Amino acid sequence: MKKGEKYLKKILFTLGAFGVLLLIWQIAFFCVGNPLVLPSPWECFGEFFVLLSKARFWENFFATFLRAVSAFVLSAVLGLGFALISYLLPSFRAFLTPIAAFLRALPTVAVILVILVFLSPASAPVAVASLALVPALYSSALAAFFSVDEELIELCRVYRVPVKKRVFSLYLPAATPYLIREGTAGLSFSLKLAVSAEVLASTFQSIGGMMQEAKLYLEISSLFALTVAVVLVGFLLEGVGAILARRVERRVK
Amino acid sequence: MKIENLRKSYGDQVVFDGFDLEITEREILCVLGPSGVGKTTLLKILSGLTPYEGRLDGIPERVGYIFQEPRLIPNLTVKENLAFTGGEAQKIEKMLEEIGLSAHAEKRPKMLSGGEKQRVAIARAFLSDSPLLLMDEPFSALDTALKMRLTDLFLRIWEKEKRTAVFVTHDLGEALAVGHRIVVLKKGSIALDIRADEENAKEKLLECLVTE
Repeated sequence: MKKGEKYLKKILFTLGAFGVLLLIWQIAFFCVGNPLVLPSPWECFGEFFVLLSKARFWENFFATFLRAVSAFVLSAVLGLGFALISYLLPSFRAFLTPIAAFLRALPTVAVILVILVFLSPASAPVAVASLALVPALYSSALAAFFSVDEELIELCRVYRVPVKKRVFSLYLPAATPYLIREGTAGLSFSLKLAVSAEVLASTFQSIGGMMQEAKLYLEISSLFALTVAVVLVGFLLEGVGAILARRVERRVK
Repeated sequence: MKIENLRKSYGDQVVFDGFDLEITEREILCVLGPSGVGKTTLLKILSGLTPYEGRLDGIPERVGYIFQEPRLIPNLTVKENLAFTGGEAQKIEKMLEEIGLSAHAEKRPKMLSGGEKQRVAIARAFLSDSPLLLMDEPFSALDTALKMRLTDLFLRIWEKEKRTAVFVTHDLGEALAVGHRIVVLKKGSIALDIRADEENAKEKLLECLVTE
């Protein structure tokens, strides 16, 4: 099959899947028959475009996005740093493994509620997202380091290559494609976590706060439109990440 | 350089049990023998890659090593690969000229042919400041013409630097072309130790290799 045909098929399948989802939504809308409980997809998309034209939406969106990015950067630095130390020091790895497993098993909502006791509604989403992202990024970074070619590691040992040089010239470049792929999925996840925490914390100037407000005033179409906005940004981030990862992969392999 | 009473085993499989070998400085010692006799293990011991029991005298901590595969870092250019293992900028330029790859200095390994990659590996070993070079069947994966060209290249560089080298191979012709002294390993010990320029060296080596 030609490359063009393959892409066309992929696009058709994606459009088909979204078409089916919209159809289910429309049928559900007819069945429920109450726009205050379930608005029609067309009303939501209309509301979505209205939202895009409002300055307040963009202010809140960027505040939420900034929180998600801050959580992601913090998690990436910690996850990558811990993974590197764990890779080089097996005893540190043994110490960190149960902690990472514990953090992964923590229920997000419980964490949000506990963290809200200690932190302000503006900073709690960052802490919540980081707490969920650090173990995930730690595990993927560690797996990426272990995937480095054994023969090249042997070469480093024979030539007594200093650790710093090994890290920057061998381990990090080899792990970068995995990290970008996992990282962008992580960034999208971070956005979802930040929004969840904002909803529970009723954070001022946030998408989560807007969602909470829409729910309180029974502006259900606006709530759905905000959800659509978050989903679209998540898709966009993952798509850009996959393209970037493929490019880096071609360069380092 | 001396190896005394070397003992090494992998589980129940004994590779060396009281093995002794003296390596004369500034000569190429070829280690010949069938597969699985412990030739690569010997190099791994000399390079510090594997633990052992016994005594190694005068073996430097850092060695130059040419593996069977070029083992170049894929994301680094030829020049960066040479610098990665400790080559100095000026020496790298000179060495690239020597191996005829100056025009490829900024290329990544995937842009090079198999022979070119192995030339870089040879250069990398000579650029290490170690007085000892270890070579583990470095030309075995190449075709005959390329093998001859690279053997010539290696000997040409060696003539200038005259470093002690241990060259492991299972190819008698290669051993005779490269080595000054050839030892045949059999069942973890030396079955024959001979000078390459000795009279009837080839016949003696052949006889040793074919007899059980």
